[in-house]
Formats: sequence, structure tokens, C-alpha cells
Amino acid sequence: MSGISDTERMITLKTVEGTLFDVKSSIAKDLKTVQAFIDDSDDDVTSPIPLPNVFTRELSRILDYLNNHHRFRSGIEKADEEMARYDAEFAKSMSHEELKALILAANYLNVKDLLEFLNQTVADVIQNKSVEFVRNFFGIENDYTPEEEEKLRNENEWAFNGVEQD
Amino acid sequence: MRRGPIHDDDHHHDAAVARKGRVVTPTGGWPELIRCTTTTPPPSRLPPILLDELIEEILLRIPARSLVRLRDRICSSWRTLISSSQFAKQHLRRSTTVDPTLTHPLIAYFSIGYAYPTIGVFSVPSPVENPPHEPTKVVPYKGRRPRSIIDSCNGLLCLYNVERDDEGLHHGAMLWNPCIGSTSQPVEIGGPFSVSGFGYDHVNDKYKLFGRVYKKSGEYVSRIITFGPNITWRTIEDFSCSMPSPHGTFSLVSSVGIFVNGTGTLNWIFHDCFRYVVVRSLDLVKETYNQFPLPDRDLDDDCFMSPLLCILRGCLAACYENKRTHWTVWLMKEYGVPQSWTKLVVIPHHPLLVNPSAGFPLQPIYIFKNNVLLAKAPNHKFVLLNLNDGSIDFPNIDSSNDGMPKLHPLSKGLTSRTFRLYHESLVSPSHLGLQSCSSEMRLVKPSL
Repeated sequence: MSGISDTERMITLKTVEGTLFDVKSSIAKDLKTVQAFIDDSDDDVTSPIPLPNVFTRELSRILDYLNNHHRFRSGIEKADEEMARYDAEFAKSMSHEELKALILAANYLNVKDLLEFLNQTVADVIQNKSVEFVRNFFGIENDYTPEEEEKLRNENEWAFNGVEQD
Repeated sequence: MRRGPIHDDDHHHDAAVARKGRVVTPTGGWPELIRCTTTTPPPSRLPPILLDELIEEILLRIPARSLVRLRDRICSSWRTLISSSQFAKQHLRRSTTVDPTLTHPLIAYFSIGYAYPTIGVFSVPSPVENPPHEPTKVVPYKGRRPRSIIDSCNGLLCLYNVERDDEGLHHGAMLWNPCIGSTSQPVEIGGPFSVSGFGYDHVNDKYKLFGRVYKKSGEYVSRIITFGPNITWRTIEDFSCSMPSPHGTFSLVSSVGIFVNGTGTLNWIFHDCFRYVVVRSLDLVKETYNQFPLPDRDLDDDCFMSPLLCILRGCLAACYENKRTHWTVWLMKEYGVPQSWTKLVVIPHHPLLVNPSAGFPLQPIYIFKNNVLLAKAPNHKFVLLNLNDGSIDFPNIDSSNDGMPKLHPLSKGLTSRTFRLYHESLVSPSHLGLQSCSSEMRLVKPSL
């Protein structure tokens, strides 16, 4: 390992569009896929690490999230409230498409905490929504025949009260 | 798969708009040197499609009752996933160890007067959620009415059923998951049970029913019935309802054994009128009996009156009355280790709780995160006891939907019903290899 302490080392990441991001190695540790790549390399990684599945918009958001969370965790007292507020704003700032894209990126990069947060966010969004909403969200096609749908609708009539309208 | 509208994302966020060689400060204020080298135009992006395993992770974070609604209606692959045994087990594990909001506690009850067979279910009245004085309604129910509910485990209720045909009486047990609406067919148990218990053998992944059966011959036999594609009966050492004690005889207090999840054990309290109490347990995995004491009495307690076992916060708990002045509740923090009995709370007698003519027990049922205890008082009414400040509230439970004659509303607190707590889950009798039916017993749910 080089003589520079870990927190000072910078890792360069390259997105699909060719944008380069310089990232502190302490942040890169949270991108487990990247960290694995670094660990597997015999020499110090100097050239940019290409991320063929990650777009600039997503990487930028992920780094924003990680940088903020590192800051919240570094000993400031009231950080829990601030962090909750940040998380709420973070989730709200994205469209459904952006949310899904971010989940895919976070999954590819193996960013555990962020993925956990995003999964829970989507779970909270869809749980009381209508069938149409949920299908639209995931881009799912209804593959039931009309007869099957009718049968299931009758069987489960009781389950649909208390559901939000679209 | 049908695609949603393609998202127009030519507008990058500030962070991504990079200029050659210049340091650009992105939105978060983090000065990261960003260099744009090639002028690759942003490739056209297809709308993101989440992988199946990512969808599964999202669905595992949705409460059981919401999943039931989504299960059948979205598409057939969601139905397959959510109905699967693997998914149900993962969801159950998450709801017990990671996120309790994935499930909800409810109370199922049956009437013990055979003239009014009835089953009722209602949500555990919460001190926080319910607006004050709005009644908790018993959910209307359609279908078969078994004789009793033996107990619940992992969201499955084990019911006792009696049917008569030309050959005589058939005593059977069936499983019902009220959350998903599935039941199994009754399984012959050989006779009425005098002592019983229902639990889960986590070593062999089997649900088991224990019963001390009164056979037609007049003899008793103790057996463990294992649910599965082939129902098995195993006769074990007989469960004795009385045992010698230092001062006389221990007798069994309550006939249904309390199941402690993760230990595979059913537990009963034995009481000796000269003030000794002991817990007798049956290990459903090893099929052996064991016993251990309740905590040593405090010096000022002269006796254990009306001792009861229950489960609180996942642990075996004991509650008994002292000196006609208070009740003490203990938690066994480490199952089977008598030194781990920890006093949870001392609840003083309160005129509203006590039934002056009897030493009936206080039955703890469920404890909320904010330290409010739901219990059944000696006068048979449900009560919410705030363990922090000692305040008492009687939740209003409206049982007008349960089909019992108006003479016996639940709110009057008469002895006509027996209650069992259960937690919603997706575990289906079909996962156990049993034939499962979805129309035999249904809760007709208003928005729960």
C-alpha cells in the first residue's frame, strides 16, 4: 500500500457517458463492487475505473448520498434528525423512473445502506396503491385472462378496502 | 413487458455538467474534480426495469396484509412469488427479527358455550393508533365454525373441530391463516384433547400439535401430531397433570401449553396450593419433558396466586398475584435459564380491575413498544395498562359482528369467550404439504 493514508487517496470512476468522478477512498469503500475491484488489483489502481452500467446522474446521486451520510455519522450530535430530513428530501426529489434507475445503479455498485433505503422507500410508496399504479410503476403487464381476473376479484373482494385512489 | 413513457433526462443535475479541466462543485457542495474527457453524447436510456430479485427485496418490506392484496392482482409471477413457501419464510423472519411493522398482532377468539359457536377476530387495540373511544370492531367472518382455537404459531391458527357422521364423532384439527384466508382440511386427532399445544419444530421445519387425548377406551394417551403431506402420530411419554411437590401435589393450571418460538417448546405452569410453582415444558423436537422454577419469591411475597404463562416481547413470561395487593410480571430473558427471570413490572391492584369475589388472574396478552400492556383483567374486560405512568384504559371492542346473541357482547366482559393472540404472516397450509382451500373460512375485512 502507498504511504498516503486511506482517507486522502482518491479513486477515479468513469460513467457510461465518460464523465470522471474523483472519489475519496473512504467513500469508495461503500461502493462494494468498486472496492472489490480495487482489492483484486495487484497494483494501486491509477487509471479510471470504468462503470459500464452506471450513468452520471445516478453516480452523482449515490456520491451525494454517501458524502452526506458520512458527514452525518461523523459525530455531530443532532445528526439523526438532519439525516432523516435529508433522506426524505432525497427520496422526494426523484421521479419513479429516477428511483428505479438509482436502485439498479446502487445494486450494481453494491451500496448496501442506500439500497436498503431505496427498497424501503419503494415499498412504502406502493403498498397501499391501486393495482394499476403498481403495474405502471414496475412496467408490468397483466397476464391474467379476464376469467382468471374475475375469479380472483371475487375471492379477494375483502382485500380492497382502504386502498388509495391513483 | 409493457414499457412506461421514456423519461426525458437531457437535463442533468448540476453535478454531471462538467467542463473540461475545471473544478465543478456539484449539488451537495462536495468539491470533486470532475473532468469530462470524450464528448460521448448521452446514450439514449431505456426506462429502467427492475430485476426480479430487486422486486423481491422490495416486496419483502411490505406488511403481510398489503401483500395479500397485491399477491393475486398484479400478474401471475407476483402471485407465484408471494404465495411461495420461501418468500413466506423470509417475510416471517424479517417480521420477527428485523421489522415488526411487517406484521400486526390480532386477537382471535371462540365461544366456549357450545350453544353459540362463533369465531371472532379483531386488531389488538393500540393505545396510540385508535382515536380515543372509537371502538375496535370485530371483523365479520364467513365460513366454518370450529369448536375451538387451540393456539397460534407464525400466523397459523390451529383449530379443533368436531364432526358427527354415521360412524360417530370425529375429532379433527385444522390450520387457518386468517391473513391470507387459507385453511387445511381437518386432520383426525383421535379424540378430544384434555391438554394441548401447537408449535413449530424449527430443527425439522415442521408444525406440530401436541395433545393428551382421551380415547374411547377411557384411557389417556399423549401424542404429537406432525403436519405434512403424510400426517404422523407419535405416542410419547404421558403428560401427567399432577406431580408430587415438596408439600403435596402440583396441579396443572391451564391446559394449553405456551409455545416459545425458537425453542421448540410448549410450556405449562403447575401450581401447588402451598405456594410453589414450577414450569413443565415439552420439547417438540426432542419429544422430552423438562421443568424449571419460576423466579424466587421476594421476601414480602407470601404466595403465588393465579399464576399464568404468556409470551411478551418474544420471551416466556409469567404473571401472578401477590397478597391481594398487586400482580408481578416476569420475563425469562434466556429461555430455560432460571437465573434470567427478570422482573418486568409490578402492577398494583386497582378497583376497576379486581373482581372482589374471585382470585382470577390478570392475563397479559401483548406489550407495545411504548410499554403499554394489553391484558385481560380478572373481570374479563380488556385493559390497556400504561406501565410507565400506571394509567389504565379500557378499550372499547365492538363485537356486534360476531354472531353471538346480543346478550353476550364482548364489552360486558363475561366469560363466554377464549382469546388467542396471533401475528399476521403469509405461511400457508399448502407450504406444509397440506391441501389448502381458500374459501372455507374468510374474514370479510373492512379496512383493517
